[in-house]
Amino acid sequence: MMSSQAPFGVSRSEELIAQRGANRQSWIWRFAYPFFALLVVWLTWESISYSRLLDTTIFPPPSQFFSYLWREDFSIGIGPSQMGIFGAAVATFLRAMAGLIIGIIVALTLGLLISLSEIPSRLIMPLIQFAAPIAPIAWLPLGILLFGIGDKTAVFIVFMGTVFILTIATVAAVQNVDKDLLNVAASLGAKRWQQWRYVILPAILPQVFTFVRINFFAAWMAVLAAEMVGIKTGLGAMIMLGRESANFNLILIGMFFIGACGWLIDTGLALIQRKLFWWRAWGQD
Amino acid sequence: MIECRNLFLTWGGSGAPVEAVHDLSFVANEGEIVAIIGPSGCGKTSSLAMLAGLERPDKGEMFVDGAPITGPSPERGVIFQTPHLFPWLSVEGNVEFGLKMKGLDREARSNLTHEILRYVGLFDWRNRYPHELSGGMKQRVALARVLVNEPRILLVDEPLTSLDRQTRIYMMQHFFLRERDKRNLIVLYVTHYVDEALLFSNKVLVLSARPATVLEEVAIELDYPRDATSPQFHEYWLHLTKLLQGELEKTFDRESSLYRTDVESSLTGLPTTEYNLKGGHKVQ
Repeated sequence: MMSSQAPFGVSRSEELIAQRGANRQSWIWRFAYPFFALLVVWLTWESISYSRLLDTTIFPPPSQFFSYLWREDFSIGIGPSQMGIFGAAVATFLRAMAGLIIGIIVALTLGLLISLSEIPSRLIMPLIQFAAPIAPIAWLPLGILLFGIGDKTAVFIVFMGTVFILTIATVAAVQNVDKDLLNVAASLGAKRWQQWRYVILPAILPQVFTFVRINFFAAWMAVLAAEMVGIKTGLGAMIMLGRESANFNLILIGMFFIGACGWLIDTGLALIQRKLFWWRAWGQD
Repeated sequence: MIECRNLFLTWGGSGAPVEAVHDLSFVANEGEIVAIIGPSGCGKTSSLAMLAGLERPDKGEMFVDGAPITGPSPERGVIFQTPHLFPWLSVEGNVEFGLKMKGLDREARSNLTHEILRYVGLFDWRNRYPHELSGGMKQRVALARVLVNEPRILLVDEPLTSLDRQTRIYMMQHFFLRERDKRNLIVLYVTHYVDEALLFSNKVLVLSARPATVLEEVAIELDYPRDATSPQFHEYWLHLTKLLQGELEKTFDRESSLYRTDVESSLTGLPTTEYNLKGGHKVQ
């Protein structure tokens, strides 16, 4: 009757190996391009400075403000809040991360609760949509009032600046979950809570994480702004100190570290995203 | 035994509601493969979804061994048109999903899962992820994921249409026929293809153009394995094809502007819409 030769078993491993090779090559390039771009900017800047087109006391070239960094007595702030550049960067980073992590946890919980049923979503969603566009820094006066000047306020600002947008993102992600996957789960015997735990949660995490990455910048900037205005430590405070003492080296070092840290952290988050949610890129069927 | 009595279903969505299923009744017994054929868009998939418990009929009753169907259950395994594997789970993770929902411990799960993966020939692929598999492999994972729950009923919604004909027939033969014989399953199988319905089923339900109702129930009294070149096979084929052809024409009459003018002129004075709603036959 019918031929019953197995028509399966098409191996895709060769394809995958080829792909991996291409990836390894592009790894070098991933670093070569940014390095080259930075080199060009640096050299241009230096040459402009040496040609006396720029006033190096107001706008020092990298060679000058970096050497300032290696001076032995380099530190920011006065008294007990005095710290080095790395201490400042770590302080800023920890504040941003603490606010962001609390924000993610609360947003996920809130978003899932809102998605659970109609009435809470109708009650709470408008409030969140109302609060989401308020700029993080606008929460500073309230934060200082509530927590005084210090780490708590910085964390509070980051939290307020991210939690609402992440909640909206969570709700949207839940609505986007493939209905067919839920049907499959239901017909395989998943009860309602099991569908939430084993289908909806893993399905929304990649999308929510993308929003976390975007929101990280908002959090990072919010902390810096808070440090400039109220809290007297961290990278933001360093820039303000530079401004107050007319120390342009300090300002540029601060700006450089803000950019470098932000870039490093985003690269780290992207790496986590690729490691944890690699399957997202492959679509579903 | 599955029993459907006078099922009615309406599709909501945007625009006016559409009657999808109209007074559908049938019975399927243990050990039977029932093929459901009908013109495309006629409500075959919706009928299956009602039996799966994923869609609720507006009216009518469905029973499995006398117990009414109120929702989805792992004893009624569903194989969908596309595999719908969970992309974040490995092959093994996908297959053990139902067992995990049931609360089986890790060891029991992996024993059963490995057994079923050997059966569908994907044991070596158990740690791979869905995106690494070919279309046929994905469908075999979907099949294993259902079979591991030991269902008594398989609801199969043209799952193999994306595969080539040889593969499709091979899989039908290899898995559905064998599973039916082994466990005395009821298999309800939606298909476009008359010859496939004839190769495997004990009974063919021909559904009408939308709204779907059973136009004719044809018992296929041929021995297995079936010979597609025999005169009896051909007789069945001709009969079913003609029935299906008639329904297809009706769908086109209703939906294609090419045919509409034709229908209008043949039905003097009767507005087309009314004719449509009644789902009447074309006046010859």
